[in-house]
Amino acid sequence: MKFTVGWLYPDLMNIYGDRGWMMSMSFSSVVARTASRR
Amino acid sequence: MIRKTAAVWAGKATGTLSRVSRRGGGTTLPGDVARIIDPKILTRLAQDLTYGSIVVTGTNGKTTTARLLSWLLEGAGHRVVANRAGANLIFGVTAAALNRAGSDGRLKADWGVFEIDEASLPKAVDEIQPRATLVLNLFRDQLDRYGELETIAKKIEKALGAVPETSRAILNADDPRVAEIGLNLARKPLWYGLDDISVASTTLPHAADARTCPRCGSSLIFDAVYVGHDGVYRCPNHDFSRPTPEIAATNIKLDGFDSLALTIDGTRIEMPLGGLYNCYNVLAAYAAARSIDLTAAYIADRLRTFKAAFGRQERVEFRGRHLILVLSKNPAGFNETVRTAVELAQGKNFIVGLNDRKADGTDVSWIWDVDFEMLKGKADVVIPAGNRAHDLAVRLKYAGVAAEQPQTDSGKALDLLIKSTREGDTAYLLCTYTAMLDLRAELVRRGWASPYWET
Repeated sequence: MKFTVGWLYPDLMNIYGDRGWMMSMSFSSVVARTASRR
Repeated sequence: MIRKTAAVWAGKATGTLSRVSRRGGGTTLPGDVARIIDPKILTRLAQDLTYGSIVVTGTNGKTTTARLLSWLLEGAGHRVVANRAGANLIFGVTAAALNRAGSDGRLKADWGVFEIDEASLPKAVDEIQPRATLVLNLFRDQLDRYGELETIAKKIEKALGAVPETSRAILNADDPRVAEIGLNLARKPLWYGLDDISVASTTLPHAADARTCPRCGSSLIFDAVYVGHDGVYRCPNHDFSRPTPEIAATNIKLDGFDSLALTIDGTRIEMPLGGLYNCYNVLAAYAAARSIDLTAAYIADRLRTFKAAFGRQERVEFRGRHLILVLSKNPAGFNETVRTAVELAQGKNFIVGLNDRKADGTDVSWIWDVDFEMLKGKADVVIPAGNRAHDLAVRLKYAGVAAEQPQTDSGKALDLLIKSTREGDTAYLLCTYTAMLDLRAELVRRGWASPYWET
């Protein structure tokens, strides 16, 4: 399954934690993809 | 007068009880008690000062800058009252003044040097009526407590608009938000800033806040970036640009956390403080000192022997290890202390402390704005500590940093540091405010450091 996450105006509208959400979603998707290939 | 004296006595008694019972250093509670008895106690005490007060505000650097100023004034023979322990709400300032008041209720000092929490500035300025107000910088910090930068900027602008006509605003021209405040004032401020592109970057860190022109909203062009969003900037539509600093630092040399050197007005200043962010603090203190007629030669000579405040590059020897405690309390500050430790000091060993108490900010999601990625591949030992050590461990994992097991107990964090390092190693303790106090308290308990109110 393919899903796309949009992060709008990260340089102008980022507040605490936004970056963390993006990092954790990216990380989780990599883990999920790796797990599904096993 | 009777009310004032009663308030002073009650405050002093509270301070003594606080210290004797070891419930704290008596740096805040005496102020609470005295202000209940006489709500105007701070105004009355400030009026006793021979020459007046200088107040210091901004997100980062308040304690160090205030301490630099006190150091300069005391060296010139002045009696100085200051809230040295960093209790910078109105109660802390009141407590500091009470501590120096005599049994007759009069404050026996020539100058007051007070660091003031940004949100408390309007009240402090109203009560103290300072002779000079220094605004160092404005970065995002404790959004849950302060709100957005614009909210704080408006409060500071309002406060500066209400100071006496004889009072001078001394502002950091390199900070776009501070500059906007100063450009809106009726009286021209004294501007200071850095002028040395050899220590500048050309790109803003992602956590930089003041990216847009406050007049037209266009993205600012940064010709130099020094710390966070502090640098040399201009609006592409010519609506706004960095004011030209009257007091500028050039020829900057940095040596890790050990020392810095810079030239101001042709005077070379060398001192035992590290980091580019401290160049701003030195420059701010220099500007304030010159504004009250201390000479450049005297300032340079006096600063050579400066000693930092507790937890601000404070050095402690602990079982053969050299510990350097560095307060790091928000994204901009943390980025600078990590950068200084890794790039300038080649640091390898770290305790990173994160607490979520009121003084730290209860929302710790700001750690995701800190570039801990700088530690990846550079640090040998990284110990997440503090009551939110596990949050920090997750953040470090995402940064690709191989950290040790998180330690919520300060003693265990120090024990793990000893176990993971060798005698002669240097370790950097980068901590939020109360996490730093917890580690210091453990070092005091083990007999390796003095209580913070004695530093």
